[in-house]
Amino acid sequence: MLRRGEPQTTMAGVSDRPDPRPAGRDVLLLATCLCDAFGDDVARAAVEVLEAAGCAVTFREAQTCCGQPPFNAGDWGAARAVFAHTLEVFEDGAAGRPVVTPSASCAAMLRHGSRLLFEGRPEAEAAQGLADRTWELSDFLVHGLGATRWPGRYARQVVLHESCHGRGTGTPRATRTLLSSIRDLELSVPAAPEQCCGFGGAFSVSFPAVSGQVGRDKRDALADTGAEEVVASDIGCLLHLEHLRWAEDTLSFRHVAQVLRDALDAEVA
Amino acid sequence: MSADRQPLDAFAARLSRRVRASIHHGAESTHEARTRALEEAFGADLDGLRAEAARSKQEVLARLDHYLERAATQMRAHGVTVHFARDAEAARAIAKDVLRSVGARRVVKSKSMLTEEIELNPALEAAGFEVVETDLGELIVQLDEDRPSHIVKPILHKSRGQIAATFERAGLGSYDEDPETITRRARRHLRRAFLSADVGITGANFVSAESGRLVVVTNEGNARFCLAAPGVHVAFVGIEKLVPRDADLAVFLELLARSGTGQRLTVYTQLLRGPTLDGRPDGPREVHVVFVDNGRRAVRDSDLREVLGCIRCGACLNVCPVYRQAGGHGYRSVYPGPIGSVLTPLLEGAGYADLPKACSTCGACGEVCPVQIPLPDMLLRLRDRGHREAPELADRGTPSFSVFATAATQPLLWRAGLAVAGMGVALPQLGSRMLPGAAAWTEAREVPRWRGGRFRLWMRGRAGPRAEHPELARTTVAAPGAPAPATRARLRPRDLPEALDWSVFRARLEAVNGVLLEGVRGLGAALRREGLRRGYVDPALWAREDLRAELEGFDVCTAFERPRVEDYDFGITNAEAAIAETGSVVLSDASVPARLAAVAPWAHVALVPEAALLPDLPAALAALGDDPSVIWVTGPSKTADVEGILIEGAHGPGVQIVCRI
Repeated sequence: MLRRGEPQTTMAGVSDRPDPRPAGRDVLLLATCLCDAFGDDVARAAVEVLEAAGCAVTFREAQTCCGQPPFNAGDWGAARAVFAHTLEVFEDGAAGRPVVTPSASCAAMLRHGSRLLFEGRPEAEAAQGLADRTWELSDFLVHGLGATRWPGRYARQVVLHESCHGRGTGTPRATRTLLSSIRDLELSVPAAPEQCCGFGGAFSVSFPAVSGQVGRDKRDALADTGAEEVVASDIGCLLHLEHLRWAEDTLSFRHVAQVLRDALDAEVA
Repeated sequence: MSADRQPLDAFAARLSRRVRASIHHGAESTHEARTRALEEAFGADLDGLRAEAARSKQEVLARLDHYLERAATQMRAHGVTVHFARDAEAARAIAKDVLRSVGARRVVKSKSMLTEEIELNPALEAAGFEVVETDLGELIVQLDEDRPSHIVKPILHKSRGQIAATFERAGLGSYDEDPETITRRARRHLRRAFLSADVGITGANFVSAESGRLVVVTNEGNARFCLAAPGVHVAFVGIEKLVPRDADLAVFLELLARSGTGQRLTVYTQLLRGPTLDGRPDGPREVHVVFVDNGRRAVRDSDLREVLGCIRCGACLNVCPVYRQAGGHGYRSVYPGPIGSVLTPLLEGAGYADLPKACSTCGACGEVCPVQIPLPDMLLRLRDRGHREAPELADRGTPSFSVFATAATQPLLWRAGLAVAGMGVALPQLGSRMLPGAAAWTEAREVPRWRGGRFRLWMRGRAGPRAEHPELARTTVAAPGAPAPATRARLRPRDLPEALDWSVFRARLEAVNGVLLEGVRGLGAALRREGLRRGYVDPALWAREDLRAELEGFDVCTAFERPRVEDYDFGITNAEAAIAETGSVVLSDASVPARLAAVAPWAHVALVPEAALLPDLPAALAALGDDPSVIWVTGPSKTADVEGILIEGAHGPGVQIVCRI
């Protein structure tokens, strides 16, 4: 029998009960491999946003990738090796600090994917331990720290793409809470918000036709809102959507961490 | 990296813009209707109901043999012959044996995915039987020698123009694209098939182990016809279709139609148990149920058991972004979409090991599944299995992660790679191999700018942390409290008024285009408005003075003569009861002496005693009693098989009138 993992998404959103995961303002950052390679500003923004919220952020240089790309591609042997490395990197003693990541997808890998990966294996306990202290950035700010109103201003029309791997977690609601609280930020939601951007890691490579077409449909739906800028909680969705060929709109693409950081900067300025 | 393309992606790339648009639109609009219907009815209770449905199914799967035996015992006690088929071949052999034993030549079939799975039709045709599919969509599939592309909407991929051409080719009339004309022609054509058939074959949506009742739901009314005209009924049922008790059917029926089509309830919900009553002119005198395993027991004993909870609603297909681009035929299987990508490799083997890859891992399927099958997890598990057991197919087009894994487990190598790939000079291939699939990425996308290692440089080089923001640095959340007590989800739809009286019945019936009259007053005028002059009246009702007065001047007979079936414009029968929640009337063999009279004429009029109002589905299930054929009729017969356009009067009545007496 399968063990059930994350609660499945409800139409009415997740439970209002406080989250049992450890929070606190001393955190470890999982910057993600995509930020390491392409999204340095997203990772920088995540650090600054956490620091503005009063956190001491530790970045452990030995971190690489959480193993999700091979996990999703079906190469669980490679995924276990990479995840085992991640377990080692984020080992933090008995009262482990929260691990925060600016990616709904990597958070899902740490919180849920690892349970499938290590089911019935000796690493299962350690994987569960890491799962129980991992947070996606917005989820952490709102449900971990209680930051329900974000200061500063951001004078743009923004459309939110709810990154799929946040389904069933506190991320979608937290992201909406934060963005809609920012002064001058006009937030819209696209038609068919539940639809994927088409990225899917290795899927984007092995199914280029389907992936590209799903992406173009998504981008059309985002552009149809009249917004100037697409915001998402995963750099994977953003890289895919931003770099689609034959896009005919003028949308720009920002990670939610960048919006939060820029809102603060605008206040300082 | 394997250079080949994944078969489904190649299929999708070849799909015409028109077909893709038609599939996309059909799936999207059904998904939206589904979401509205479930939200209106259940809101936050939905997940509780899904969990309850999942529990019922898992209870059955945990004690499958016990429940199968229970159902079989009940069925036998009610005159049903029960067969067990280990695989498709055995099921086909049973079908041929039964058909031969009753001297059958012609078979009419109601839509059944299981009979597609076991490839029943070709086997019966090869054995000399004539088989006619009677669901409008399935009929068109059969005429075109095509395959269904969706488990609920078999011709989602076809346009009305294609259908019109098919009908012209099949001699059903000159080219006409009008969906209503197409539907009427199918109605006329299939009448002859129904009336000349010896055997009706159906599937079953559910089987109650408690009572042995089969539940068969259709909107068009074709299954009613299959069980009215022919004298033999053969039902093919997957062994996983059981639910423990009659009462469990309520949650499934509440979820099935809403999830599948956005309806509250399918038009005809037939709850069947055994041959019809002695001396009745219509209905099967012989009933066979064939329980089919065909690989299900092996799935039951695996770690993917939960997939057998599937109730074939199609919600996961409709929401799936990949299905919307590729359509059902891209899956090369009877079961497409996310459920198909799990079921097919399990039932059909390694030849389908690629299907679990046809998924962006978006998780939408898991979110909509009415029985909470963890499809996203299952697809991932099957990828792992495919990679190990059938890599030549499963890994086609998938980049190799061996170099990546080496780098990602050695921090120094990783950092070196980030730097070198960025220079793009010394070892350009290393960067692209660290990020597997970089080359194939560019088919649909530009390459993002490489920023490898920059974040680490910034982190190391900066003077100190950013200052705390006074409004953010001291926020708090409440400490985790005790978990809220588990409350049972409310099965009662929240869009249902508190008092379930006749006014609710009226509203619900009118919502599906049915008509409620007080007594029989106005019946004559209502029939006249539709241009209906001749009809059948149940002899037991013809004693009513008020009815005789209303039907003054109509051509009425009290015997339903099958050869004259087209002469009856209306059929007036009793109904056992009415159901307020759904606007349904309850027909039974006890209350309706001639099954055909209630389904064949253009208008059906049901007389329901005022006192016989049942509040809701649980009450209606509790009142099933012993009748061999209980049918909940919810408005006129309808179909949306042609481009999703709703046409009333598919095979059954186009006008449904209820008289409260």
